[in-house]
Order: sequence, then structure tokens, then C-alpha cells
Amino acid sequence: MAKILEKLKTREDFMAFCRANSHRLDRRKGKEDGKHTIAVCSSSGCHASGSESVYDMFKAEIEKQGAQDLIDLDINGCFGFCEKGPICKVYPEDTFYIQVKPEDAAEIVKSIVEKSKPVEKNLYTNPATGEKIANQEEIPFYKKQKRIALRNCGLVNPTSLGDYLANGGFKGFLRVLFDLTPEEAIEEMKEAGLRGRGGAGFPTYLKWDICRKSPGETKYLICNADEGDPGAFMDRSIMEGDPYSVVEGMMSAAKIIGANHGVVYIRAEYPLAVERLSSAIEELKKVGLLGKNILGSPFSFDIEIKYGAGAFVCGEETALIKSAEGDRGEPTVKPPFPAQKGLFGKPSNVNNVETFANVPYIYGHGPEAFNKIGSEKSKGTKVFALAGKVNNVGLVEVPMGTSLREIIYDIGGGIKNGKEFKAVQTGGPSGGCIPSSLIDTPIDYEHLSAIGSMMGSGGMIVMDEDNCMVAIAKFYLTFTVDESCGKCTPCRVGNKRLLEILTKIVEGNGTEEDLEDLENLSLVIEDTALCGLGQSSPNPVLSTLRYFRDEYEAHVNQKICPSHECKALAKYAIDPAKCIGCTKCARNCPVNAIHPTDKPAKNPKLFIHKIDEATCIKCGTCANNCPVKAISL
Amino acid sequence: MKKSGKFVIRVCLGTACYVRGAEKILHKFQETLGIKEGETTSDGLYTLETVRCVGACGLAPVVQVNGKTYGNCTLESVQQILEENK
Repeated sequence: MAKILEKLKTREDFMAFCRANSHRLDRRKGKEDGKHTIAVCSSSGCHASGSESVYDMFKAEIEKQGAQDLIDLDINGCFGFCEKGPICKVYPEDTFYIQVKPEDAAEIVKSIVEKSKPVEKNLYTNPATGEKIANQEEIPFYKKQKRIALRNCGLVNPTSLGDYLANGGFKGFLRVLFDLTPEEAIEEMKEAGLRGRGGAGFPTYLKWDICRKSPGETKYLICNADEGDPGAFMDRSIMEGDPYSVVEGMMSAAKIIGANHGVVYIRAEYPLAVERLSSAIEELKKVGLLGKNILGSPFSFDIEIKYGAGAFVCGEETALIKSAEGDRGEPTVKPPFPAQKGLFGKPSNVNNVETFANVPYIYGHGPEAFNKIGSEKSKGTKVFALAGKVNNVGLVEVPMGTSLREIIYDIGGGIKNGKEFKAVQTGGPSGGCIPSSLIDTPIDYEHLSAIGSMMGSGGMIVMDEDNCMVAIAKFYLTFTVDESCGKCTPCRVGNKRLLEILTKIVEGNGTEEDLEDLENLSLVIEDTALCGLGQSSPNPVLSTLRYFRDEYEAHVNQKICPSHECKALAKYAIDPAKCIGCTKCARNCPVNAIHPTDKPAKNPKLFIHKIDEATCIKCGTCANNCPVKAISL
Repeated sequence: MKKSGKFVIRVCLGTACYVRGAEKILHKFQETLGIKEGETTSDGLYTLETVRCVGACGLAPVVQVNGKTYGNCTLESVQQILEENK
């Protein structure tokens, strides 16, 4: 019969439990014990590139090669280097394998059994030197990173409470529970200087203090896990790779505020994150770390998971609360703030996933360990989802104050295919585009808002010379119009009008007045929309107008798209030097706009073709069909 | 309610995919299948949909067919994806 675990009833019970688990990460931290662990990344990014079949293949190979007593097979959380997935690691050697396919499993297992050198073809190659790198820390992508919120991601098995404890888990909560008064704990948080990682950067200590002082018996603690910004996946990776640290952060915050009920509001589109969080909560209930009178203290706390249906507006705290109550997800007027009147009318505190993931570190290592990192007013680190036209795509965590250049070039490895860097978009649909001239801007709350963007939740999309900034502004506005909840007029109607003007411009019908209208309307929406998301929705338009006005003017005045992205402004032409007169373009043209000229091609029986601009509908079919790539924009 | 096709093709139009040319992939699907997004081919084989971010930004642009993810898609991948799912 399976051993039934006794619930932990006292601090001493808990300490004994920690000691019993303290060895669990030894091998992963490099201690040799004669055996090896292969850990396969089990987060969504690597799942998408096929890590589950890699895991199965490792299992089969270990059996086939009779290495069951030598090799343990395990899973890991997100390493962040999603572009190079599936990723797996071998311990204690600490070998970092990338792009592992099921058929590579045999060779990797063999190299461990035979104690030979790591399998070269699955090692990372430094693009600058061509040298193979076996160790994670040596890879340029990781060198400038500082991992606090992601400290356990890629180190622990995310489903193991024991692993979490072995890396110092719940040390901070224990201090908050037994050693610190709520006032002292808030003082420590103030000293640490943690600010909300969801976007706005409100000081965490202050939010907690206001809620704590709000009168009322019942209080709620809410974790905002409704990551709705397209192109951002920080929170998902944290929940998938280290769910216990989010829960521990919530437990500490709840104890300090005096909340006995916790709610995680999470997108239903994140099935794996939901699964990992739920199993973490269940496990903690089982051992008695969640529930009534935790470890014999007067503090009781439980956590419930509520599902969001993926509405962008529900990331706004008042809309989130409405949705969690079962109503339509629409923002309400502040004040009253959630800290005064939140979920079910009770004082509530809402923090984002990444904010909670930082809390255990602060209480576990002390505020100085946290506030010595970062810039003057923005302390600690920030996780970014680096994506777009950059060589190394993935999750990066850097100290606040790191420059955009360091992130894009040193960590991101520069722009893909040797193209020219044009802009980086931070903050998602609420943020702005930062031009290449400002690439040395240090990343923190103050600097980003000074240049018309914002920290946002941490999406960072890199764009190159081929991206049209007017089209990008239109892309974000399309998103905002789709996602506007419709409660207030500036956002519901204003953004629709903005989108109409932008569509007019990219279709080549824009005028000078349209640019003025864009600017004026944007400023009105910024001033008058109800919620934070509405107020920041014109940011993509305002920032591109500010830094890329020449592109707007080219669309409006010369009717050209300098990046050749806007189809309506495109002019397809056949290069007479390349055309072989095969007629493939003419035969495929849906509107019969391509005709032969009287100039013979290389084969004198065939003739060079020409596109009639007036008839052309710019569908690009000819360019796609040309066998010699003679047709271009 | 409309019946969806045997294969539901979802082209991701999240920011990372968009920046890496997801719209062109969508157009290629529309052109090849002769349907717009939200529609199903007359033989009931394919439904074309768009989604905003499946979280696999590292593999952008991304297409999902019945839950299976195809990463780093190019215009050539469109034909391959259709070949593989029929």
C-alpha cells in the first residue's frame, strides 16, 4: 500500500520535510553520484516542436540499451530558448542539447552509456565563431541574463514539490508566516522596490498596504494570469515551468494582506499552465501548506482557479474582477479601487504572475539581494518574450536598466538574415514602437514611458527593414477594435475610426489631413477612455507617427510603401534582363494584365513580358509563379 | 452553427507571426483553397481560421492543423501541410 503522507502540522514538520527533499537537485546542480539524468523540456514551446515524442524515444532507447540503472529520465520547465527546441539537458555533466529529434535519442543515450563526448550535432553553435558550446551558461543567449523570476525554470521538474523545496522554496513564506509582522513584511517589500510586472509598474508594497488597511473581514487575493498580449508568453512559461513559486508568492501576499481566499484568473487557452498550477495547488493541499491553520499558525488560505475566455480586456483588473464574479468582462470606474471594493465588493489585491514569482526570492534572500539589481527607480529584473525578426527568439530575463541594444544584439544575436534593424515594439497593443536611433535606451518603467512606449507585460517584437510601420500600427488597431469591450465610446468608436483611417492610408487613399486626424483622435482617446487599456490603445499609432512620420507621408503623398509591405501600393514589374518569356506569369494572372512585348527573350521564339499597371490587382501570383524570379516589387 | 471541415487549419496572426509574414501564409492558404477565413471548402475537407498567438512565438510563423503545430512556415510549407493532411 502506498505510504499516506502525514499532513505537516508545525514548522518543525516542515523543516524535516525540507531536509528529506534537500538532495533532490544535487545531480542537476552538478554533483556526481554515478548516475545521470536526461531532462526534456516540457513547456508549450518545446511541445509544439515535438518534445513529447523525444521523451518517449528516450524512454525506449534507455530500455533498449539497458541503461535503466544508469539514466533517469525526467522533465524540465522552460529554458526560454524556444526557437532551438526541443531542448534537453543531461546532468550532472550539464550538457545542453538543442533541436533534439526522436532519432537523436539513441546517440545521446549511447554517449552517456559509453562515457564518450557529447553528441556534437545537437550542441549549440556560436554563429560568430562556429565553435560548439556544450554548457548552457557559455551560450551568448544566456550570458547577460539574470534569472530571478525564472530562477527555477529549466532547473526543476515543474511538477515536483520536492524539487522546488530543494532550491530554497517556501523559505520566504516561512519567514512571512512566523518571523515577520505584516508591517515588517511590507517594509521589506518597500525596501526591495518591487513594482507590478503586469505593465503599469505600481509599487507592490503600496498596493498591499492599501488593501491590508482596507476595513473588512473578508479579503481576496487575485493572481492575474490572463496573458492576453499577442506575442508575449512570459507568464505562461513561469506557470508551466515553476508553478510553485507563483503559489508561494500568493501565499505570502495573502498572509500580509490578511486574505484567506485566493483566485487565479487564467486563460483557458493555456491548458498546460492550468494543469501545472492545479496540480501544484492540490499537492500543497495534500501536505497541508494550503488549507486551514497552515503549519499550526492562525493563517488559513485556499486557492481557486477561474478560467478566462481569452478576452484582452480581462487583463485589466476591474474587468478581470467582473469576469471572475461571473459577469461580462467590462472595466469599472476607479475609484473605488479593487483594494477598497473588489471581488464581490470586498477589498481585493490583484497582482500579475511574474510579480508573484519574484516574491519568494525577495523574502527568501532579503530585500538587499533584490534591490541591488536594476536601475534607480526600477529594481530587480524583467522577463521579456523576445520575438520577431531576431536570431535568438525566446524568453529572456535581464536586470532593469539593460539597454535594448544588449537585448537585441548580445542576447538576441542580432537581426535575422543580416537585415537592417528598424524598430522594436514593447508593451504589446498598449505599447509603442521604438526606432533604431533609441536603441541605447535603458529598459525600465521611466525610460520606456518617456519615449512613448511602455513596459507592458514584456512582449518585445523586433522589426526589420521589411516591416511597414503604418501596417504595424494598423495590425495593432485591428486587434484593439476586435478586443474592445465596447463599454466606453472613445475606445469603441474612436479606435474603429482610427482603424478606418489607417486602412485608407495603407490602401493608398490617404491624405495629409488624415495624419492630423489620426493624431488628434488618438489624443482624445488617450484622455477620455475608461480603462487603462483603452487609454493606451492609440500608443502604437502615436509612437509610429512620432518616429516614422516619413513612412506615413510616403504612403499619403508619394503613394508608395517604402518597405514594400502594403500590397495596394505595390508595383510589380518584370525585369527584362531576367525574363525568359515562358508565359507562366501571363497564364496565371487572374485579370489578364500581363502581355508579351515585341522584344525577344533569350530564346528568340519567346518574348519578354510586361505588366499593365492599370489592370494589375497586385495579387502577387505572377511573382510566386515566375521560375526565374524576374518579377518583384 | 456551421459544420467545420475534417481538418481545421489555424493560421496564427499573433504579433510575432505577423511580423514574420503570417499574412502571406494566410493569403496562400486562401488562394490555394479558394476560401476566406472562417469558411470551409466545399468538399468538407478544410476549414480556414485565424488565431491570435498560440504562444509558440519561437517558431513563428506558425500554423496549427487539428492541434498539431507546424513552425517556421514558408509559402512552400502551405502545399506540404495540405499534402500531409488529406
